[in-house]
Amino acid sequence: MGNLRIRSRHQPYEIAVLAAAPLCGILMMALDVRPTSVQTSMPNPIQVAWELGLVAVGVGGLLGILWPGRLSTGLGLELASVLVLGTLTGMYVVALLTMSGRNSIVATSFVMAVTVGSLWRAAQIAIDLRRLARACEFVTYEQLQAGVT
Amino acid sequence: MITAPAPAAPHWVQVALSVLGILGGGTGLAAIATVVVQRGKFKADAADTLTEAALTLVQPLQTRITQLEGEAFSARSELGMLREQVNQLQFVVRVLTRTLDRWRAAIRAPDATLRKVRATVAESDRIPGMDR
Repeated sequence: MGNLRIRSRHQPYEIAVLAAAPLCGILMMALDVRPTSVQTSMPNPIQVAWELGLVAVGVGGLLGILWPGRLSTGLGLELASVLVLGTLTGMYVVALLTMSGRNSIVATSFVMAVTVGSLWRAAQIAIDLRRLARACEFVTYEQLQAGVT
Repeated sequence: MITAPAPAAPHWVQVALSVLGILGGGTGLAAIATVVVQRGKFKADAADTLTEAALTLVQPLQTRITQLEGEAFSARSELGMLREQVNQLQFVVRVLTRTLDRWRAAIRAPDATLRKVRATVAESDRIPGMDR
């Protein structure tokens, strides 16, 4: 059995995006503004959920990354956050596309990149969690403490 | 101010986005629920598991340490063997010196005769430790 390898969780792009999401959500709520594309293409309850989701995703994701307790709990929080972040940004991409079509190429590209990156990271975390679970089956606690598996 | 949207997007977009949002939120909640339910499977604390970066640093050091420990062990056992050999040789030297002294005394004695010297030599043949 090889080494248990968990990818580093301190990835600058991910952290930057996760920090930007709640900022964006809180600012939208505080200033009572929403992107026109979102307003036109989502029913009102979904708009509110979308806004709240941005805040929840950012807070949850950062919490998961900085989680001091069990690694698996932290990874689970992060997994849920990046999954939902991928969904939220995907919704925004669809909204932008229906609203401005080909004029929004730059915006949609970048937002779509966030979507793809989030889902990619979610897949990575899922794989890491599977590995962690498998390693925990085979390995005693003492071995894990020593870092040698 | 949230102004009323002038041109509403097609109805199917709204439906699609609602479905997408609900699905995504549901998946996120499901992920959290799965990890919480299967907590028992994970015994490792965050502090107990090294990240990839740390492992790549530690691993060569660990192999080096094992190697050095092996070398130290063989060096130590060799040292012990040599020390034992030195002890044996010291013992032999002491016995030989004593024998030599006895023979010299026998030869230099004023009343030394060939027969007496032979008797001394024959006596020292029987001294234990000389047959090493």
